[in-house]
Amino acid sequence: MPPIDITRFHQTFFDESFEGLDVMESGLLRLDPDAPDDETINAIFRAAHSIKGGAGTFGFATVAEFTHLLETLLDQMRSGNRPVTCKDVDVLLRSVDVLRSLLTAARDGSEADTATAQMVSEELGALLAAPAATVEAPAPAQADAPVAAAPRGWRIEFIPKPELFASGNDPLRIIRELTLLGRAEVICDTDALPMLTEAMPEACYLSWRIDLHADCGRDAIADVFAWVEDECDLSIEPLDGDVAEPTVDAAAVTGTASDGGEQAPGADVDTPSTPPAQDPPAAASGKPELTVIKGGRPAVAASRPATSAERSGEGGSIRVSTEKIDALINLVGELVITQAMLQQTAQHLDPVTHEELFNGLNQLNRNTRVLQEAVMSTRMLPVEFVFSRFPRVVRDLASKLGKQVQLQTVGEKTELDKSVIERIADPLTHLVRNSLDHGIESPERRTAAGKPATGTIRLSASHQGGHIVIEVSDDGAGLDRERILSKARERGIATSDGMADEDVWQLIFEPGFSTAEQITDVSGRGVGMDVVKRNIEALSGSIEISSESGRGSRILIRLPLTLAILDGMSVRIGGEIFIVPLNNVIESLQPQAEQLKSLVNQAQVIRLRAEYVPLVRLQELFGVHDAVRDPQQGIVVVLESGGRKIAALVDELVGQQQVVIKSLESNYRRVPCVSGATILGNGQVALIIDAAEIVRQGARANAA
Amino acid sequence: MSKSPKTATKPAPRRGVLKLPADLGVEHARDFQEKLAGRVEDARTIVLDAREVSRIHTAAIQLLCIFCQDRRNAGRQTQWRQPSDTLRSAASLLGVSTLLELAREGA
Repeated sequence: MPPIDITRFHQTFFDESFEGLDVMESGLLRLDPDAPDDETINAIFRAAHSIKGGAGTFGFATVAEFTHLLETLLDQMRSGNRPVTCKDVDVLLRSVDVLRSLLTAARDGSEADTATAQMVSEELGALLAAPAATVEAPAPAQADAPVAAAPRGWRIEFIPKPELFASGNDPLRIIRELTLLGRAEVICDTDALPMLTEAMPEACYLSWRIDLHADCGRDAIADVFAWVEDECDLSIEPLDGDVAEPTVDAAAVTGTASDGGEQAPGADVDTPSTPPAQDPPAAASGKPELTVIKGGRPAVAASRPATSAERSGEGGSIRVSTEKIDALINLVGELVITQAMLQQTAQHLDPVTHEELFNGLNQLNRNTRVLQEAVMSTRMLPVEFVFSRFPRVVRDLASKLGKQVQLQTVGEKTELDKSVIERIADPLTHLVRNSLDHGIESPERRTAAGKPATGTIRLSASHQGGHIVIEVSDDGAGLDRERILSKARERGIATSDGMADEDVWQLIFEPGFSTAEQITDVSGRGVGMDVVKRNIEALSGSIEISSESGRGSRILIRLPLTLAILDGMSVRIGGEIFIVPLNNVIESLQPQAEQLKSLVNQAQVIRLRAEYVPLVRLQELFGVHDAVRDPQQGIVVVLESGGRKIAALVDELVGQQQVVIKSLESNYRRVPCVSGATILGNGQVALIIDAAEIVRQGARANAA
Repeated sequence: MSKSPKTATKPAPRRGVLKLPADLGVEHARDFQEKLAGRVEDARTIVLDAREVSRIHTAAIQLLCIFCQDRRNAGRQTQWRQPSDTLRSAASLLGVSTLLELAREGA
């Protein structure tokens, strides 16, 4: 039998852990220290708990150890033993960052930032070490029940039902998780083992008594058993000696009346919902079957419905790797090509004598299209995946800059191709940071300007035709026309005072342009909007900017829904067909002699109404020899990218079509001025022109 | 290098080796039980070769416990050969190292 590739489980663990971190982060951001919500704390706790369990199972010890501290703190919060403070939330948020970097390091096999991890874990340790006495009882009703310190250890009797294995559970995993809480002494009861010939291989005959020496709450242990609570008899009680300790804690210890015999399954975990008997002597003297440390809130009872709600929400989806989906998309792409080839072949046939064939082909055409759309939709993710990171970005930055900012997000459910989502995240972050740093004014300035002290940044997404439009707007000061102009002059960029606002705003996309008076670590590092713009253009998108002084600015990003299919114009250059991305095409025309001008450096331009556009002979760029050289004999296609235009000379326009993009880079190598390739209906391979690069080159050559 | 025909007629070795598969997940428990059942009554010393065990479920550990217990009760010998860390740690976590006589097993 081949050895098991454990890494295939790793991927799922990492995927789920990163999702868990997102849950923690958004939960922490939602958490209001003045009125902490049990449900939110529980959700954060559960996420941390799952990460810890998984990390332990897969042997990522650093992650497991770190999460353990985090979990302990969260456990104290959710059991009401610790009030939620802003400081705690800050440390927890930083812990989320540390965990993310630890997990990334574990996933990529790279070096983890142990220094930060150590620092944050010391902070967590310090918080945990804070005396419990400083904790106030959260509600007056519980004021008479002093907060209990966790006992030094717990005795756990774990008697699985025979069907426990069949439900996918493994006591090994459970006990391993327990050992993450502390040192465990495990005694296995093998009395019920049958003879090998009589044994049912998937029935559980073993049971365990575990003495766990851990400074944790009962809930932490109960949580380890959360998945098997209905499939085992379980009792968790303090280790001897702990209950007898003469502390006020005993008042909070509840012994449930049971003779120490069998216990109804799950009874232990449900116990907190029954009224606790305030009977310290029973706890101290007898042998309490079950003990609950109560800190003021029915923590476990509150956590149960949440768990079931979470579970019920999981039913509708399965996790599929992107490679599988990409393979599927690729296959559908092939199918589209085959279908187009069939269609093309059939064109030579007589439609009357081949009517049935034509009907069949039409049906194939329709079905292929529907299939293609359906498959593409599996790659679509709500833009929420990107938007969800911004509450954190805004919160951290606003507090760093001493600004008051609220973030509004609209249209989070708008769907976008996964690859676009991944690549839009950084540019968007930059825009949001910019808005916060340069756009939104300080509370004093805002108040002086008659605006509310709290600024607003709005992120919205919507579909428009085959595109998605993402808008980042703020109600800040707006762009400063004068400052941009003076900065541009400083950098030697050609400007004039009469420039239209739109043209002035475009200046901020110039490389290295920053108007920040002071270089901060927030923005204004000199790499900025030009990088944003290049990123957006690399996604075949466009970016527009509008601004009104004192009212704020608005940046509009328009992106294609997917990077796998392109609306293209097929053009012929000599004997070759090339595809020009349609969104770069402004117009096409047959130039007249008077429109053509030759410059001193051999370059040619074409006059289009009031402007001169450089002429680029694509045949030279691509080394096609038998193509038209005289612009008047061919067609020029005016391409635009990044605000610049060129006129590309081609022999003929062939038609418009949707093409499936095949990467040339991954199948061959990167070719200058070519962004990819596609297979045409006749089986011929056509190169897709990289309009942005051609425009850049053309403009540069012309300027030279 | 031809061997003398006599070598082939030697008495059966006093040891039988049972190689444990790398994957002892619960989904393989039934196969594993059959594999063990084939050897449980083997009068020879059975050597459990566990060097390749890289994934193990409690169900498999339980079967090993039953196997060793049955053999011990019948006065038969069972030994380990290079039990993998996965197996050792699982047995130790489940508190059955002693029953499986893994504890006294060297590296």
